[in-house]
Amino acid sequence: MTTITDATMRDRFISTASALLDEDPRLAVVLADISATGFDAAAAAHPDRVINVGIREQLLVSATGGLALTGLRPIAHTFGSFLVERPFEQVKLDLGHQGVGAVLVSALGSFDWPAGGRTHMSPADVALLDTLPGWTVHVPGHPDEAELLLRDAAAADGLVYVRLSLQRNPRPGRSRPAGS
Amino acid sequence: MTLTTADADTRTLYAFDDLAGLMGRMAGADKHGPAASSTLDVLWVLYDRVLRVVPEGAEDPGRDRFLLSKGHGPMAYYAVLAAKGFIAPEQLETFGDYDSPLGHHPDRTLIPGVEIGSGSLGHGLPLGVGTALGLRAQGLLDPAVWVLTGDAELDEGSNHEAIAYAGAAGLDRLHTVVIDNQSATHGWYGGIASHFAAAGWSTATVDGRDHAVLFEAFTRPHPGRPHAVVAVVEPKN
Repeated sequence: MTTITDATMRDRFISTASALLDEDPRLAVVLADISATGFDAAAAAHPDRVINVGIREQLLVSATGGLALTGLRPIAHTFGSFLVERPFEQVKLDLGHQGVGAVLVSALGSFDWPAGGRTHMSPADVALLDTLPGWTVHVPGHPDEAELLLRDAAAADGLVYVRLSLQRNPRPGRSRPAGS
Repeated sequence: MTLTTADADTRTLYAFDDLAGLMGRMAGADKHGPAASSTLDVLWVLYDRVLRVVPEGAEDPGRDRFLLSKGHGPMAYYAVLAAKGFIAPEQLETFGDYDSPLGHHPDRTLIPGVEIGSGSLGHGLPLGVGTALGLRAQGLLDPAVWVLTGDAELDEGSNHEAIAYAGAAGLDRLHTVVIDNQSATHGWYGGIASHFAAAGWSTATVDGRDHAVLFEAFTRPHPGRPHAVVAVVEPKN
């Protein structure tokens, strides 16, 4: 595992997902302009599996559902406010109701960017997803934790949300056996 | 209750004229009545002559995909699925019952051959975009993706995200058939096809009751571009 401790969780998401695209032909990354430049190299290597739909967050989530219907493991990404709140019905119907799996990865979770104002705050993302069945929600506290959870989510089959933040703990938490 | 598909060897062969009888087997078939029958001819031509999908291959990765976005009034859809052997005709009599898989909006997890669960408008075309992308990413360049929408359904903004992107991305395996019964409250300035054409789609506007004309429009070549067929039927009101 890389330990670029000065990188943000979002940086680590980009490097981790780019590496996973090389390793797993089942994976696809779906973007709505946010973080798109970070995926330029991955898009050049995998033009059909790095998809940027432009500033269209409903389509971001619905296209993710369509990709999953064909058997791929899609990872959709943008800021939390535009990934969960704006296209909430698409999350509910085009992922959950279709019975498919997918990974949602946000950035700027909660009140990460106070100067950005209310439009870029999404403190209710986790609460909203908790109203839908079948979701596993991860809130990592350090880029190393984020990478571990992203790799785990990419390898799984169900509905997983990984909420990434600019905030971070000084060190990753100690890993513990499940249930302890 | 689980639906089972009829065995290919013992399956009854149905013709278009049999669909009215099959629809008549659905109790409560008056629900969304006009919406149900407006799609009948288009659905028949697609399933009878265009789509390469059979009940035995309903999970085949190389099959064509038909996504009924306009999930209201699914009786014509269920009748065609029964006529083509995806569901047993006697199951139609359970339509809308407490424990029937055949609800007033189709559910892909309950009904063989149904590719998406629909009902809320404006989801089929964006799901179709993702389906076309997913097939392409896996090297499945042959299967066609077909999405059926209504003219009023195009009011939903999510369709316009999909139309604009699909045209820009040149998703030439994506097809949309718009059932135009002139039910959009504010209409479509310039005609429905012009909105697809402006986004780079190939388009055709035809009589939605004429099977030969529909077949020609459905099978028209459209290299490098997605294809939209506007099937005009009698006004809803």
